[in-house]
Amino acid sequence: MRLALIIAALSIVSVPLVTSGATIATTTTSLSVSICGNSIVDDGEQCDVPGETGVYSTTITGRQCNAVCSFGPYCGDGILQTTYTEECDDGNNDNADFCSATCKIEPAGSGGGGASGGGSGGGGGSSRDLGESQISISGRAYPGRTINILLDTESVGSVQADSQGRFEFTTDASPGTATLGIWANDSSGTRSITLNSTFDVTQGAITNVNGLILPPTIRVSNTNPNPGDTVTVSGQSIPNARIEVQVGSGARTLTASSSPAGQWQATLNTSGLSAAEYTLRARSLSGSGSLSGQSNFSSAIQLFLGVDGEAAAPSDLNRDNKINLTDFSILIFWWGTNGGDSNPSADINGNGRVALEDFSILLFNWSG
Amino acid sequence: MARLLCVVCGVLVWFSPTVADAASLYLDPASSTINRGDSVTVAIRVDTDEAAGECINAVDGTIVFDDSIQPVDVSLGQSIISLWVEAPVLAPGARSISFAGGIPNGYCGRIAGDPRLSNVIAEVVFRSPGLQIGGGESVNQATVSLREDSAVYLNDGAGTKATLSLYPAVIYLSPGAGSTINDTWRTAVQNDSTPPQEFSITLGQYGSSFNGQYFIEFNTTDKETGLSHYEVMEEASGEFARFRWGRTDAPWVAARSPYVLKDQSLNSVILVRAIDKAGNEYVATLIPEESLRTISRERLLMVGIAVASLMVLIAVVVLSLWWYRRRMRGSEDNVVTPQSPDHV
Repeated sequence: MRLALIIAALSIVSVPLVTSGATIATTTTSLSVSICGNSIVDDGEQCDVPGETGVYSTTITGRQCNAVCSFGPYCGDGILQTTYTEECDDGNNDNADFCSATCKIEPAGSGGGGASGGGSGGGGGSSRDLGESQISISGRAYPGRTINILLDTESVGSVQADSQGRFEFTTDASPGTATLGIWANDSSGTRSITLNSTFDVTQGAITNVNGLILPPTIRVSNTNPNPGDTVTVSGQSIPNARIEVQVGSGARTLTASSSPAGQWQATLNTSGLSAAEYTLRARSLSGSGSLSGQSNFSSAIQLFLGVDGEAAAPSDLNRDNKINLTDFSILIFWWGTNGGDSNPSADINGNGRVALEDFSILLFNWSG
Repeated sequence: MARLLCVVCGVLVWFSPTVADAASLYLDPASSTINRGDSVTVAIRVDTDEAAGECINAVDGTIVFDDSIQPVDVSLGQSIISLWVEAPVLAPGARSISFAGGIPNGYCGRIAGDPRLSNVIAEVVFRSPGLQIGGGESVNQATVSLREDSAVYLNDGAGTKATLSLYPAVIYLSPGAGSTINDTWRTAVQNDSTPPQEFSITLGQYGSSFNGQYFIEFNTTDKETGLSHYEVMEEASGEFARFRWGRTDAPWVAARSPYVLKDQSLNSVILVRAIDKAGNEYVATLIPEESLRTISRERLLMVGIAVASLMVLIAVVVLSLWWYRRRMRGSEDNVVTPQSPDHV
């Protein structure tokens, strides 16, 4: 008898992850077990249909229950399953909403158009000349600062954030995979990290990217302090946010608040920190509940506490204050060599060979 | 009992070392079945450890595949890689394809609401060999895998390699042919009439890089079938009377960025055309600024020879005239004038 094979149980399991003697993190997971196969949908079960195998279904109504009492994959479950030739999955089996009833991409002009807006209509079946595709972005950054927009590595314009740090921008784009980046210089001239988002642009429609939060800028008053010194860590972020600064890999975490102008400042007392090279990075947290927002981490900056060191070269190989295709070209010229007499050296990380590590650093610093 | 085993297995899996804290390079679909003569597109995809907020920015890898399946083409149309150090290309007879490229400012994983899985590095089209007639053992599957030395780099400004998991794909080869040939790649190429994205050419010269020579750089993408290659032409930019700067019969030459210019005097118009897999093209043009143009040594030599030739010609003409007049005068002097009777 299938019933009552397992007594329902609930347990909380904590797993401390220990590496080299230091506790890194603790994960807490709830494990719930219930009776599957009794045709009764218990707590924690999505379905309970003895005999069904959970094979892929092209419709929501035809979805199948599997052996562990959850639904098998189906078109309309909101999960993109390319294994089953899905091109999209918007959680329904409706046509004319840019994702067809059978989970195939619908061009906006092919009779669709509705919910997601945009598109210039017309067309009727053809995949050509369906109107312009656009990307519309909105988010928050540093109040009053200019936000630079990159699309597929090329600069496509800039926009000024308002006094609340909000900005909006719209640009034409080609259908297909696109990578959009935003960055800004703060009021002290410190450059932010470039925040990248990669997504698919729907043909003939406006693809909205909302909720972008530009990570804070970060700088320190002294990159080579002695143990015991106090270092001021500061920067600019979205206004009225909590700022979290990570020092090293969990060595210490600082907190601060940003002003209405987005300025923030924290003090790092290096007493208790051993002499070493530390990496500092910051992120902002704002709002609460469903309105909360958390940025990605900022650029990482190096702090050489009681040790000799110099911040990594900036990747601007032709000294034009931009890191773009020209710097990439120079890097390629010196590829596989020790950087020769290039100045600044194309061997950005100074390991004696221009290779993918240097390419990766250049890509990190890319300004377009 | 089977269900109990499932639950036990599930618990064991839950307690086993997880691979979730790693980036992964995987081949998609992991499993597929094709008839003889049909083709299948296998995508090389990358996933980041999104829970840890991991972003990556460079990928270096090699896929290897059995000789029971034939590679047909490589498509970069859906690729998230915008800069290639080594673009994946097919080499005749090779059973592997290498690639290395990057994404400026990184890739941080799928964003909520994205209708597609936008994490393709490249797509490789494979075809099952046709029906085999006669002897020989028929192979019924082919494995495509990523070589162990494949690497992904974190977008951390330090060039750190990410912890990486690799996942292969298996293509099952049905022994028979289908009622029709299934070749989605050929269909995609036939339907692609969109040219590559617009792009511009940038002229550069910096320090000792490229031995101080002028070079051009260019980069674009094609979001349908993907780029095939670039070609460069340096053509005559102007003429003076019957004299042209640059070659009048300049050819298109296959090239990649960066490209060191042949005409370092910058008197040529520079054209770069990007051609996609379907043959659609976009041509970008650069006319170097007047202030940068110089007369090249070759052209100076040519002009020098022309001037010298002209001077020699003038000298020959002058000398010929002088010689002719002198001869004529000599002839006149030698003429005997008849004596008049009075002098006798």
